[in-house]
Amino acid sequence: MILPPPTIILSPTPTTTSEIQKIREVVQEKVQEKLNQITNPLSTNMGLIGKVIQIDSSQITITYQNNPSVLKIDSTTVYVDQNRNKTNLANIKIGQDILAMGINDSGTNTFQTKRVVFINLNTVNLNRTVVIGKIVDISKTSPIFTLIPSKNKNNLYQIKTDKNTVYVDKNQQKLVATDLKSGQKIIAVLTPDPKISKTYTALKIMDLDYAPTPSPTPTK
Amino acid sequence: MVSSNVPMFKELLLAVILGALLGFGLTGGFVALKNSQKNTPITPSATVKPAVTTVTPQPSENPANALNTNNHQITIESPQNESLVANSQVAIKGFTSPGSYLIISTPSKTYLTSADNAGNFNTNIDIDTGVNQIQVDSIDSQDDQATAQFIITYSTTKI
Repeated sequence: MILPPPTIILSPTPTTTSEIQKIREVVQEKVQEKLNQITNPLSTNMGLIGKVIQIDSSQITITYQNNPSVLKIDSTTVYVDQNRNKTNLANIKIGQDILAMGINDSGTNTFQTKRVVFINLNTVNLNRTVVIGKIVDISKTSPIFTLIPSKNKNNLYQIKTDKNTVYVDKNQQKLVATDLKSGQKIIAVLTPDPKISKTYTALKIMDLDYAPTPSPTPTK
Repeated sequence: MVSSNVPMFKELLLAVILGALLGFGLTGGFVALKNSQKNTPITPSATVKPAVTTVTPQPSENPANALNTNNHQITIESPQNESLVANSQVAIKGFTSPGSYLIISTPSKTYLTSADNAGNFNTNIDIDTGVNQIQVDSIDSQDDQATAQFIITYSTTKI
């Protein structure tokens, strides 16, 4: 008996063009989602500072410049005091200044605290004054001069200089204290004198009007 | 005698009238020629400089031309305020008025730089271990100032 050759019937494959397109779209969505997570991560490491205003077993509330922040804490949170010794939650008091390092989740708007360090906020404040103006008077007996700011001419600055003051011209070339002359326009980076009001110590001075004195040409 | 003077007077009068007519004619022709030259368009050659347009600022009517420089601002694009970084060198990126002087103050250093012609800046600074308050002051060409402050914490502790 001769068997007839088997008939091969082609059944439609489950992956039609439309299904392939659907799969493509899903893959593209997932890739885009992952890319967004990489470029705009929901979780970022942050360091929040502030004064403790509330404490309970699961969270600490701090405030800095009138902005309160709630810090989630758990059994893994590490506490370090100002002497860099490990401490615990019980030693945190209302009014304590702290730095909280942890992970901020912008999706759930929570901050999971990993490490709490006791700090002093007074030492954090930079307290810099930057002023642009003209030198109107330079003392010949002491390292002090008076500056009239360009914008508020009634507010004179008494500025002291010391060995740490850095002098540069507008091209960042180093100068010396004697290069400063009355009438020159400068930018001064200042820190207030804690003992004398309205007196500042100059950290850096950029002399905008400095021009090097031409060296004398030799005569024949 | 009288009869001989009359023709001479006529000739003199005629000469004066002719002279006047000739003078008026020449003057009129000259003026007409000048006017026709004024109306002729001049094609500028390649070396002709374009006319300079002077715009008078009108602060109250046209804010775009106003000399009110209180709009001077500074924006810090990165780093984000309260960032926690594991590297002591941080790039400060942002924008302000073109060409402004920039003074970046950290707890231990002061950097002086300037914004480019588009107002952008990007400066690497060194920060201290722990909390750093950073202050960026911008001073524009009118001596107006703008200030931005933010906090960066540098720690190598694994979070």
